[in-house]
Amino acid sequence: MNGQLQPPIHAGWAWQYQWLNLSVADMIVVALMVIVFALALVLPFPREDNK
Amino acid sequence: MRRTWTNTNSQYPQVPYDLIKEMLVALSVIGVIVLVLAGIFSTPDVPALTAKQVVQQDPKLLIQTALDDLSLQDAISTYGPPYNHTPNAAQHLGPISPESWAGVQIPVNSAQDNVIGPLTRFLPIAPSLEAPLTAWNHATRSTQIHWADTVSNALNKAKITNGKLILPGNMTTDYGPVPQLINAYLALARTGLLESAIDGATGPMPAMNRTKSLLLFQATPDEQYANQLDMTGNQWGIIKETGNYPGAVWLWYYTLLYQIPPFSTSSSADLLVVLTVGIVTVLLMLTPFIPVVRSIPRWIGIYKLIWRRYYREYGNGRREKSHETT
Amino acid sequence: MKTNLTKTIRLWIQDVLPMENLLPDTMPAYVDSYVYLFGILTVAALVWLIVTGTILAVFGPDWWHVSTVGHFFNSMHFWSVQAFFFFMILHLWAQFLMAAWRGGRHWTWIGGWLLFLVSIVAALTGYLSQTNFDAQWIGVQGKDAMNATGIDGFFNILNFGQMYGLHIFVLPMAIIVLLIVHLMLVRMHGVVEPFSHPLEGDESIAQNVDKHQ
Repeated sequence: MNGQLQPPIHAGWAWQYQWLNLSVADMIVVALMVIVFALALVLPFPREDNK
Repeated sequence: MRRTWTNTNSQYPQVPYDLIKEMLVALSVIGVIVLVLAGIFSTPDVPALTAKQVVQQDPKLLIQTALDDLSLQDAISTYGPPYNHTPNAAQHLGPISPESWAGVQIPVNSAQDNVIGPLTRFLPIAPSLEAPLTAWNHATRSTQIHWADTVSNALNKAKITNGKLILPGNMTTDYGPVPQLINAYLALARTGLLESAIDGATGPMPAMNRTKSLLLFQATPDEQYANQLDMTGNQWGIIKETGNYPGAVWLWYYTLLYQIPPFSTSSSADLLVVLTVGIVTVLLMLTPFIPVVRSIPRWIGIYKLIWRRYYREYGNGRREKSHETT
Repeated sequence: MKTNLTKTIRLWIQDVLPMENLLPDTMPAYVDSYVYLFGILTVAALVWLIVTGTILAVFGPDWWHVSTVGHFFNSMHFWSVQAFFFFMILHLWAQFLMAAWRGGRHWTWIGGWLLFLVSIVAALTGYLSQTNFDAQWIGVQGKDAMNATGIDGFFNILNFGQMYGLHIFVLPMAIIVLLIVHLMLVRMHGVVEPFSHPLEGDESIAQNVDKHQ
């Protein structure tokens, strides 16, 4: 087809990179999941009776 | 804590804990995260693609869509179930074909539902449509297809002037009633009422069930629009959100399958992917009963990290409550 | 003597889930890691989903397109979904790594998977209820998978009214019911015991853990 339909508004620029079907934003979410999980494993859990 | 036949927690050394406080803290933490993210990033809200937009931005695309519908050469007309009975169109894996078993649940006749029906509905306020509609309805199937194809072939030499389609040659004799129908169709699209005229045929609340008008643009127009919004590239749109917003990351293992063989090369990719994901999910659900799989956590050994302080302070086993303090 | 159903059920509840086990003020000492918080964070995200979703439902499906306040609540709803799945998946990882199905807790594990699956459908119907291009594109793209399984004739993802009704009532109710069962099962069985110590052998606990596997 000749022209390209244009949306009246856009959601802003987007990273044009994807890997294994994940967009950059998706990859950030996955990375955060791994980081949060690792921190939860490593950080000592506060305990009330250890005063 | 009391020991019951299902709960032996009380046999282990206890530490004070406040579940309700934990819940309130969790609510606050999530509340703050959500407020901050909503405040900073907001959410995308790109309006749906309408026939009015298509006719304004690319009238020939709307014309081509209508012509394909009229000659039943659009993707939906050859889709098979649930829309029609096209032979061998349903996805299948050998004899397994739930699509055929379910049958035609949402019958669609693209020419009638998307073009002729909506125009007929406007007949009372556009009486000049009576002659072309009658001509179309009384023509044989092959004549109809011939008319639509002739217009289709002439389309790249055609012009759009003042919102009207101008074809080369004699507009009243060379193309049957199609030019008049198309021009009325363009006018209807410009009013913004085309979708309602399409969906109004199936029920009293067109906006509540937009199945047929959504099928009208499901191929090229939607793809072009989605392409402008960085939402294409995959067979499954839900994973990708427009802009830099995260999509449905939790569906990743599902969408990934579409990208790898044998799924990516199968003509029944959807069925193959759905069945695979279904089987894997059932196996994961049944992990507690699958001998080797249920031992994986013990081999991985991350549990040593989770329970490191407990193992250090209490060794291994259950202790009586007198051992509670260390 | 006639059976008194009320009394039978009361005694059964007292037997399997006495009040001090439903709302205990102590936990076994091995409940000692941040990974134990992912479940409650998922529940908290669900509460925010219900709060923001209720506000969006009260004002109607087209409100958020025309009102700044509506758009903000939609944004909160969107990010709550992200938080909900974020912590649900971390919760799943943690429970897997602790093999939390041990000791007769398999229904808790299976119920958790059911919650995940129903939540995926709830999220899908939510995407489809947005009445914007996201909904349009996801609908026309997703229909092929639904059609391949033969369910689209009954669960028609292009039918906004059907998707919206499922999203704001039927699926949230299913999630809440499954969640209540899930939480009751957790409190009924208590928190899963640690594996026997990797270095010391303790036959009593090892037997107790393994005989239910």
